[in-house]
Amino acid sequence: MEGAIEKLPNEMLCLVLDYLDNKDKLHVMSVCKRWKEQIDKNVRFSNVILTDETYEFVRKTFGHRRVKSIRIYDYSKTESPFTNLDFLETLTVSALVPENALTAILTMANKLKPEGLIFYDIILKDKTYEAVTKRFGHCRVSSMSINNYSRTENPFTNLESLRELNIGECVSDNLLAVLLRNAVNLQKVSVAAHHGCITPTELLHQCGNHQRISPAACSAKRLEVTFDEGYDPYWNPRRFGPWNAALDYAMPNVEELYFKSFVIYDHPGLDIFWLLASKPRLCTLEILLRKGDMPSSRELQPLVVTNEMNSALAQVRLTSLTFEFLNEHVGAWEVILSSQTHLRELKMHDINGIGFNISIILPLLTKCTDTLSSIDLKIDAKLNSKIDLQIFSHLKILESLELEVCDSRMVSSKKLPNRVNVPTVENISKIFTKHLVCLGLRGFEFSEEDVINSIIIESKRGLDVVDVGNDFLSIWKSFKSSLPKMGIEYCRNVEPSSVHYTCIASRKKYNRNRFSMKILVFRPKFVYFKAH
Amino acid sequence: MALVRVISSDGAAFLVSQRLAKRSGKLKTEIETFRKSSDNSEAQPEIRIVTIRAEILRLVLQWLQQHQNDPVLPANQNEQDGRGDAEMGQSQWDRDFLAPMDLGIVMELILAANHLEVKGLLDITCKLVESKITGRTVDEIRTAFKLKSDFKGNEEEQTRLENRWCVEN
Repeated sequence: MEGAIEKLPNEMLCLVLDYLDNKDKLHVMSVCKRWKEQIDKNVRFSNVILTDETYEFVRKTFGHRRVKSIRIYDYSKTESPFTNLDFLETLTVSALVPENALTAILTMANKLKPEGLIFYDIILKDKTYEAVTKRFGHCRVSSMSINNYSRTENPFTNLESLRELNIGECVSDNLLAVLLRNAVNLQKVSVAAHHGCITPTELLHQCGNHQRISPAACSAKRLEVTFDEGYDPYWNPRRFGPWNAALDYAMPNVEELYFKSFVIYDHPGLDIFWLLASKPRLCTLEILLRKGDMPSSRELQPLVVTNEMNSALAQVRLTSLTFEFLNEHVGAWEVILSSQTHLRELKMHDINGIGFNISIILPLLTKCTDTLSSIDLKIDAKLNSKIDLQIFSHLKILESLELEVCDSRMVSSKKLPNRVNVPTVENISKIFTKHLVCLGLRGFEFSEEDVINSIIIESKRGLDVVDVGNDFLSIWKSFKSSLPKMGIEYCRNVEPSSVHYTCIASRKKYNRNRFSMKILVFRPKFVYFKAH
Repeated sequence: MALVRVISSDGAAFLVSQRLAKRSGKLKTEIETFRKSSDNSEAQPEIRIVTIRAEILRLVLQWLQQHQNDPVLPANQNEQDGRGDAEMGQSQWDRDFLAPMDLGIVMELILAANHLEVKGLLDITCKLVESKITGRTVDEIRTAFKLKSDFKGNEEEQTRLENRWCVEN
């Protein structure tokens, strides 16, 4: 019987095949003559990566085909691997590619519109100013880094394509203000905070304040701040003011805030929680602390949540929250977590083996039943002797649940000896809701019977991968032969640190790249801690 | 509320609001053409879609109804953006909507979405087909789409060899 896809005219077949990535487009050429012909003649290839290393491959594979977009970096050859660039719409070139290497391609791409040529990776410094102005001044630029640039001149006449701006040390606030104001499509600003330089707070504040950037002038919704080693991390309440004002003035549209390598010293979290409380637009927050320099060794006093702060934090509404938990912050997190009504993703990284009491999220689970789709938590073994998965069963669209046992006493060890103080898990079957794709339980105690039942229940609904680690030998023996027959890839000992990595490892191992893989991970006894 | 009568190729009539209908590029154009050519501004437009049968037209209208408050995607949106929308915009409702459909219906929906210029529906249906291809072996794809190899001699092997990198890498 003729397949339904054969009813599609060539034009529509091409449209469908266009959705495949380049690799799959070439792969499906072996399906039948019609597909091969359409891919050879009519389907266009996007995002072809051209480097010195890929040159030969690009020449053979894409040289004669219809290429729609090319990205070039690490390329020094002065010839083009393409014989036909009539369909080229976008040519994205690293600024580090020599001009003569680009010329051959540009000569052929005579139908490329000026707006189709975009440069990225531009590094603007005092010493590169002349060269940047000359070569890229009139070009479209998608990303640039500014570092040690004391001039106030803006070398770019066109900032419409600028999507990403990385601000390093010693940058003129005047220039920054111009960039923030004129880059109307800016999506992401990254700031690296260095020791001895003007702080990102002061920089943003000054450029906003001095240049009177009107609210909504800067369109970027994402701000990433990385605190480099050596940055003076002393954040006291006096500094909260400038941060807050800096964002209000310079980046009033910020909705996603990422703090990386964040250090908290004497006033644990006070500034960051106040900042969070004063930014009602924020929907995504990620706070990752600096490894190996934790305040626990500095005998921090717990953060006291005053009535004022309590009221402010109770107003915070996020859709995505990723954080590293410190016991000193428990009061503030408790308020934030219990106030959420639209949270979609909750992720807690572990740091120095600190996990939390699962009871802290119970109010959240009752308020976000319609929205929570992904939960990744580190559980403290001392505070949780038993986890009843039924508490997650009413989450209507839960797709991924990862729970891992942390025990601060066991940081240097990989095993919990003799399963002492290992929390148990109950009601595993209750968690198998319609939408659950990934379930990862690591470091818990559960019965083989529960595991087998879970596998059987889920295998009927298209389970792809089961990973039971080293311990369930009896399961391995009994299922080793039967699982593949049931269509399940049995991934024993893939040694991932999370369900996510199990998924990646499985895809790699079995050459699968499905849109989603249904996966179960049961790792009893072993507790993995990420290397610091 | 201004209404429009949309009639399928097999004669079934669907009465929908003009606001909803105008989320289809094709229906929007037809309504505007009708308005320009009609003397009676109160007259109800009637649009015949001769290429789409009732079952499929009902599905398209059902999808439009569900997404009536979404921003309208431009038909000429570039591919990368389009893909992003397909992924980002595919709600649980969309997944449930597509789940029970066999490939024959999906193909008809693709044709209908293209004809009626409903970019969002076209995106998610194409994405569904793409998900049935990605990561599969050639034999699995042939089975899924009921296709037979029509290569002669060593043509298939030759094609495989030319593109062997895509399996190896």
